[in-house]
Amino acid sequence: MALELARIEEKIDRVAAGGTEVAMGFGGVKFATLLELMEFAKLMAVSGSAVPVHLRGNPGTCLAVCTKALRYGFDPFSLAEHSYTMSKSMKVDGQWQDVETIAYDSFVIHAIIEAHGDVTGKLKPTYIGEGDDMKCICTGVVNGETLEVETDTVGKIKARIGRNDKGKLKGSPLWESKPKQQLWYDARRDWCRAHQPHILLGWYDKDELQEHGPDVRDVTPAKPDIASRLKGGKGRGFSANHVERETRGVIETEVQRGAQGNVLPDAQSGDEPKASDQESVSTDSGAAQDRCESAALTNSSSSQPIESSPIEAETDKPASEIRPPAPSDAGNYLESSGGSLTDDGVQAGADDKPGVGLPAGWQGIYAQAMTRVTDKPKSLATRRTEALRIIGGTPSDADLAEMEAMEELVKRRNSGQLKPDEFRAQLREIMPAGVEI
Amino acid sequence: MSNIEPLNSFEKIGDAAKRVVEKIGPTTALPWDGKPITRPGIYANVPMSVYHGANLCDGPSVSSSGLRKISNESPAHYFCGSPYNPTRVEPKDSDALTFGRAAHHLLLGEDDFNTHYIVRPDKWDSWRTDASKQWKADQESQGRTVLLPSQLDAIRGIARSLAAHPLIDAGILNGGIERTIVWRCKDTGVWLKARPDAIPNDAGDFADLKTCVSVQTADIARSIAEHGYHQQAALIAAGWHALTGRDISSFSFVFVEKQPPYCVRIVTLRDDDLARGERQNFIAIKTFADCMKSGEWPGPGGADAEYLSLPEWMQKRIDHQLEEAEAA
Repeated sequence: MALELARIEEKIDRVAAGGTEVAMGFGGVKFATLLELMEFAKLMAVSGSAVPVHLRGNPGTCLAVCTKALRYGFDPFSLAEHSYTMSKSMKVDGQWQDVETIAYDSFVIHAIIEAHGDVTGKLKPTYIGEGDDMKCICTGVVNGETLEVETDTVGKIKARIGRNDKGKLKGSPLWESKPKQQLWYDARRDWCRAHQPHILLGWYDKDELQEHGPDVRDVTPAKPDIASRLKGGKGRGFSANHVERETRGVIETEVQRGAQGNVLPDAQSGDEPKASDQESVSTDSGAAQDRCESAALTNSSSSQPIESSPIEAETDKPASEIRPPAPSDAGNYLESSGGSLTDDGVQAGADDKPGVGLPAGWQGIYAQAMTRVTDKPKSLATRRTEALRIIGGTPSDADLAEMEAMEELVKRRNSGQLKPDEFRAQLREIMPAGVEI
Repeated sequence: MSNIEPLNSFEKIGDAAKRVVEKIGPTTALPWDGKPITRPGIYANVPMSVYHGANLCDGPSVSSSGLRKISNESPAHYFCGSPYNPTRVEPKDSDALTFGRAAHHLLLGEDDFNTHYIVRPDKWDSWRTDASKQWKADQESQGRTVLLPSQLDAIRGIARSLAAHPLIDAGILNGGIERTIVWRCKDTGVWLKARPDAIPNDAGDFADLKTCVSVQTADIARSIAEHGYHQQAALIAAGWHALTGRDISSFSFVFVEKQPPYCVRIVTLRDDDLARGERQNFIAIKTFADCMKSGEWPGPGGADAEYLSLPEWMQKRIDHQLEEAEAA
């Protein structure tokens, strides 16, 4: 709708609108031709806040309001202010359909009846009964004949109108606060419709439409109903897979990174490896991981990879002096969980069985993985999985025994049975010679 | 020349043109040739720096954020960071802005996330150490924005939450991405530009992703009002109409919380609010054009002093307190 405003504005014939005579009579505006009236209606449609929302961008409805205003001598903008678009459900070809119609505030209709009806004198009310039993008889004299219309009782009308979800009576609030007055409005309108139909010509007042049963309702859609128009994800845009692919492994890499310092003691210090160098080794992990890893590499060459580790606090040796568990093979750890290090011919550890056993020096990485401080608590099982992923290869029975021994120490430290100094001393004892912690 | 559309001799030119437009589809984007744009269209591959720069078009151009700045703050506030200001002050990037940008990049399926963003290695839990500061500076000097692991975690949480929403599944955030739409304001000649999150392929139901703290009704209504999101929607709608001759079917905002439980709420603007946005935009465009012409970018208020009343609620509270105190 918003955009139609611009288009309607373009269509306004300024010559015709400019020729519109302005008189000081009723309504303040005088039109010579329908064309002028149409131009005026278009102008109304783009008058923004000067007309209610349902008329904005809607020159046809504006024209309807204008013709009514002209007929009864109202200012079109004033009449517009008291108009509404309502809807009645009607059966068309056996199907219920919403048919929109214009409604006006009650007092507009009353003003017309008073001003234009062929009534001798005024319409008069007679009230019978009290409270919910009250009803109203409207009497008017037309051509010497006294004509009457009798309403239902207030109680019956209220029961017919019904209440909304919040228990509030629908339609006019006067039914609760001033039922006598509302009864009179209804009686007067009904009288006019029955005896002076040429005046109202099927005009509805807003209360009437709101109150008259379930077949009348507001047709403003309750929901935008976009779902019925969308036809499934097409083109690019949001994709959960894309996010997963781009970020996989980026966050939970601290152990890998910490170990990377060990694996690659002589990594190109200060030079960040180019993305192309890494592509071949991290196809599954996403480049984000590469970026983090490479950053870690840069720093780990000059400082301890895990600053907060209780172990490393005692260890002043730079990472480059820590003996690597395997020949430097940048990044291969990422794919090594399937045993690629052993496949590459790296010595298979203490166990004689081919293909089984972790690469020499694995204990250093393992100890770090078990003990390092992380942002979030991690179970020993998680730490073990992560460590093995980094180290690569399948642990032999001897390896497993060593792993369990280390885990046992960590458990005792965590439970307070071992003080940090004792823990480190005992850890050193079970570590093979030459492997630094 | 094989793509010349044959013209039926009994066919009106307008009908033929409509046929062509329908055939190529409104989302077909023109490749950007690296030079200032001289004709309205939907362009692909315009870098963000060019989009926000002074030379996107062959004349002054303004985007929704510029217009909103003019509307809701003042021309002076807009000009402060404007590319047309030789002494402009680059706005400081807040965490929220950085997060929003990164989230959009990932969540709207843009490529090369890792070229533009990098996550802080979690061996640092803050920027206290010199090494971490140095690393951060290095990354930024290479043009990368540094994210915290927690921020990336949040983006992944958002993605999971979005994926579970039926309207997202139905494609409300899918279509042509990274498209720049450019057209001219008929009244002022100013170039207007917009970059919708996704240009829909289907029925013209546009949507824009917004990360937020809360998706409670009052909070998102305030968010739309405060940030003028309805103006942004209206500008995209106007651009869409200018370029395709079609109205949008609807404009929705996909609000998603940037912290657990990452609730998603999709709300659609009503026509009258879009109309409000359009009118605000129009005034702002005229202001922009006038200021460009005059070279004057006034702040709020005039040259003379103005009366200013205390807020009504404050007046009432003080009056009430005075009444009580004076009665005692």
